[in-house]
Amino acid sequence: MDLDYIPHTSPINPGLYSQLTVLLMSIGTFFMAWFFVYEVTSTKFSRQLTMELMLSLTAATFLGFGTLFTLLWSGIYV
Amino acid sequence: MRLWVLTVLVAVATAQLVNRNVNRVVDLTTQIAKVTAEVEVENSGASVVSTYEVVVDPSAVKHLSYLSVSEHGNELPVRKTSDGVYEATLSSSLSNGGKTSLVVTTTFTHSLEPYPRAINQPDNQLVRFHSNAYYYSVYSTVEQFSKFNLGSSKIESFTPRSPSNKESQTVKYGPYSNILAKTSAKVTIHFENNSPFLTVSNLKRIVEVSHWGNIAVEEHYQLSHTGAKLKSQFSRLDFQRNPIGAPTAVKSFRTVLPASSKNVYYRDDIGNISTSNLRETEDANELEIRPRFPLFGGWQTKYYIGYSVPSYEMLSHSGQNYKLEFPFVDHSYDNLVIDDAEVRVILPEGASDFEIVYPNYEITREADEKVKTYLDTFGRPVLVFSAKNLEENHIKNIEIYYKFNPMMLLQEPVLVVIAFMVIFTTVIIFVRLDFSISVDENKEARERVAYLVEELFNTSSKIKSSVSDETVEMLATVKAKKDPKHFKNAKKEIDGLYKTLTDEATAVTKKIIALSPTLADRVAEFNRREGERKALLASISSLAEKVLGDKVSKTTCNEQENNLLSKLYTAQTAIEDSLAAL
Repeated sequence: MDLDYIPHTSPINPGLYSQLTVLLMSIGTFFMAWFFVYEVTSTKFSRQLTMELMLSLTAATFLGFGTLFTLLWSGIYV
Repeated sequence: MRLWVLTVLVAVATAQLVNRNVNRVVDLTTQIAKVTAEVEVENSGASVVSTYEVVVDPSAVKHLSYLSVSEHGNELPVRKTSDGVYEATLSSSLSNGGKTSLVVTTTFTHSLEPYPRAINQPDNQLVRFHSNAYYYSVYSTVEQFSKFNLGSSKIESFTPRSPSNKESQTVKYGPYSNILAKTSAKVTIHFENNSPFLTVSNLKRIVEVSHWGNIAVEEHYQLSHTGAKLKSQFSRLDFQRNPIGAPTAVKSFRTVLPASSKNVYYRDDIGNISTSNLRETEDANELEIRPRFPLFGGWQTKYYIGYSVPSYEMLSHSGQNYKLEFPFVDHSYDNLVIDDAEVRVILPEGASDFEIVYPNYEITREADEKVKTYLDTFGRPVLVFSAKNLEENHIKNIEIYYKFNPMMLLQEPVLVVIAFMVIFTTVIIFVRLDFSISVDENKEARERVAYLVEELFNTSSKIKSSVSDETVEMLATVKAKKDPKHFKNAKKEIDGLYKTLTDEATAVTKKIIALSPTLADRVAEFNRREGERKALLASISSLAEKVLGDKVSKTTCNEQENNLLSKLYTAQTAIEDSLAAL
């Protein structure tokens, strides 16, 4: 207990939550749109699993972090 | 037997002390009886004494809320030895004849008894206070004097005990001389007290820590008016007509929140209670709480308030060790009384190794719990504490130490990422499922051809972007530098690339013709155009060769180059057209 304690702040400045939300969510939405467009336009023969996985993974990552910051921004401190 | 000997020894040891002079002030202006006794202590025995024992009058023990002993302004460590018996360790031991002065502060809740028990709406409230005319002590007292501050000049009665008298707002007992240890002389004071008699019969305080930079506090109150009960029916008309017509009613009160608090809310089961005000001052936020109805004796209300505080106010860390420090209970209204308090501390998921430093009063730690809220998997640890009979003096910090790996913070976003990935994977799987009853051969063939044409188109545009553009670029470089080595390398590379790409294209065209013979003409057209492009590219590279060998003049070269480039452009457009036709 005899340690030097310093005040704890968030790893990311709470003032940036709004910008991060908008940025990450728009990038995520873009990739999600691309993914769905790809899914509905490609045919059985032209579909490529690597492409699908890459698009979905990028979209999921951005949307995931975007959602987290949306929650934090709106006051739901998870 | 041994215990008895010990008790006797202790009794002998403590009996050495004498209260030289006691000056006691009892503050009865609020609903809490606050007793401050200034005691001059002297050691009259032979042996050295290092502790002073404080005994609370047995009749008042059940009302005792807070007790502290200070010596020259410094609070002394106090240990509870049994019910109502406390032992304070003096800052320095007293030898024979040694003197010191102590201040013993005690507070008693629910000790002012409304009498009459029930009153009408416009009546003033009268209360009775039972006390001891003497300072109750295990030591004999030489000189003593007591003063009861009543805060009202309407004194119905008080038990006389000579010398005693009443002044405008006070009743005085004493001075008395040479009172033996544990002497009790019951006195009762009956007087008017219209101060708010509010009691939090049950407080549930929830402190939720988020390492994303926030601490959310929520307090659930079960608040009752514990003054004289309202006898008749409540008259809203009288209440509205005469603002001072109901002296005991509590219309509103003030809760002091931390200065950094934000997102403050005041709600009950129905929803937001709009009759509240938040005043932000420099060192505190004051929330004016106005319940939905005025509180009369015996009435009660239930509500909760909540606010957020930035984490740096209460949470600090050193590596992976965290320290959470916050007031166990906080100000709810002036002279508050809390009968039962339960404090629940929700720590982030993954926090462990709890160590707690309690404030100097009795707090019980209940069994830990788990709670699952947003983005949790195995639940957040909840530390539960409870305490009874608290008042303002108990607003003291509790410290909770714990360990937490900051990497656990990433668990939450990763959880959301996985959720999205599950949705996308479902889509990926779903599009691969074929629910059609019969296979539509035509459609499938069409799709297959369409795919092949697309592939051909891709190959063709690759030829354009890599081979054709590279050739043009090569010519430009050759013209500028005339480096035969570079030319050789570039030509080799381009030729290799062109071969693989045209091979690809040929394979695809063959497949197309095999699948759909009707397209043969168009494919042939494409091949013809591609051949044209090939010839043009060859002439461009031969031109480059000529330039390298200085076989052409600059102007002819430029002329030829322009000519070839425009032809190449036309050829490429033609190829694209032929593909579009497919």
